[in-house]
Amino acid sequence: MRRGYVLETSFQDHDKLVWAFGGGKGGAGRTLLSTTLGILLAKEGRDVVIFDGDLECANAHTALGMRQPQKTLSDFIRGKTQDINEIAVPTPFRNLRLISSSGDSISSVSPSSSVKNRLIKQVGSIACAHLFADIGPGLSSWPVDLFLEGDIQVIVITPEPTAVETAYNFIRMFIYRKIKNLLGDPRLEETVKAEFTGIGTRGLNDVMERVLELVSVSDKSAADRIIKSIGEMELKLVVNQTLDRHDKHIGPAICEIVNKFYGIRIDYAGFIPFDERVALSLRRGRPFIAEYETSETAACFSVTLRELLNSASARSRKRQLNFMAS
Amino acid sequence: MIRNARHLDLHEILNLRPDAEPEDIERAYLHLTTIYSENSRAAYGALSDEERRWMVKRIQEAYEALMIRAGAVAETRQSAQGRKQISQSPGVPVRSDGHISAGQDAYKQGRNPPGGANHGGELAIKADSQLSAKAVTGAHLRNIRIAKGATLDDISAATKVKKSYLEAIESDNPQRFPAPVFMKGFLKAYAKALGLNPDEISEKYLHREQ
Repeated sequence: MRRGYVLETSFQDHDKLVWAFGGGKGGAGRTLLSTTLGILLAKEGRDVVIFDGDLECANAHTALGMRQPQKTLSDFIRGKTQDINEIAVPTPFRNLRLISSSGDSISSVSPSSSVKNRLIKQVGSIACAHLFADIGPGLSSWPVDLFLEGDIQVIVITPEPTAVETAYNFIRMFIYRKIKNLLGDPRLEETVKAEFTGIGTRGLNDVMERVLELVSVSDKSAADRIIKSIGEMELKLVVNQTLDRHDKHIGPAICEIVNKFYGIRIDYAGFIPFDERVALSLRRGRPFIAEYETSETAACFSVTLRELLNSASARSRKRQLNFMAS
Repeated sequence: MIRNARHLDLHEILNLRPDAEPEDIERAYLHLTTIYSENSRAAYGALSDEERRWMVKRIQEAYEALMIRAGAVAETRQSAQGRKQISQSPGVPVRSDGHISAGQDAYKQGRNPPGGANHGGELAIKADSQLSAKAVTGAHLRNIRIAKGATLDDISAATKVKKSYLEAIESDNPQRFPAPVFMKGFLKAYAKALGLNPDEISEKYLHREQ
């Protein structure tokens, strides 16, 4: 949920959890993870909506074993409907609905930034207990800003260096956008942007320290907001398609690096082993989790879901305590 | 303040609690050097080259400093607890400071120990006098250990260094160590347990290796 800084601990939206699945690299498994965990959670009786945030190559419906829905985000974008909840269509799974961005039209491909901003605001009005946002690939403002809306922010990677490299870029971009959104002064934004351009040689630790120095000179409260908000960040990491034990070690190792050098906190939430039945069931038009409910891979999805839920409730308790203490 | 690796202390760098045992330090060191190595898949695209190199150096420093510190703590604890481990072993006299007693205390008396204060027998004199040479070999160290009546198990118990590593030191086999710094740390602990000067031994032993 988008929350103003002041509202951050005020429980305005405590009845809805937004799960964001990002990471930047196409094909890493965000759609697989968001739909599978969505199905599992809905099965437990929770009211879940999957929001297909991949405007350009939407296929969460296919991953759920559905045809393209009649109503999609393009209806909303084109003004055919004013209430985003009207385009949350039922899926073959009880308690699970889908907001598909798959559409017809050219209009939903690369919508203007004002449309994207409107969409992001609308994410808050989707009525459900759990909103699963499947974030599209890339590092542009749409995927990154949508990811920023998450209460549970999950980075999904595969163990390949391509996905690892992109995930680091995605996290850096995410931190940059987060800081930028807290500034509200175009000149300061430019300064910060210039500093972040030097990340490749100087590293994020140094860049952030410099940014804080610069920001606090002209806007002390903005600097405090940045410190607080970076300090509260808690990303989660899931590694998909692991083949061997080396692959299983890569997740905790990435967390180690990010925790020390990126100024934010990231926790390892689990791995999903490579399983060709995932692809085979997709070809048959059935979600893997529905076909192989009792497989070991399915157990890995469940463990990951549990891990994410536990950390979300621990975090909400912490917020609650902070709120009561303040 | 936003967290920054440059502000982390020795334990934090290795993700250790302040009361970490030498085995924990060893494990953390090995684990982290892998993560931050040049060919690490996990670090791919994560850090600037300067940051990565800085971290590798910092891990090394933290490891060495904590191993030495842990060795000193273990020694104090040992002497406080009555130095049971070593004194149980027959024939190994234990000095009041917890070191295995030597014929001479090479640590204090330097390269040319006088023969007068000899409690450890001829072999010990012979062995200790080998230390005045420019180079120290694993065989020298083994001789000193045997002269002092200590087994590898005694030394391993006293230093918390695995027996296999002690054997590697005595057989001059640096390949057994995952990284040179391991050998250095363990060698120092080993020398200390024998009552020798850790820095001097490590210098003479490793210098020869190179």
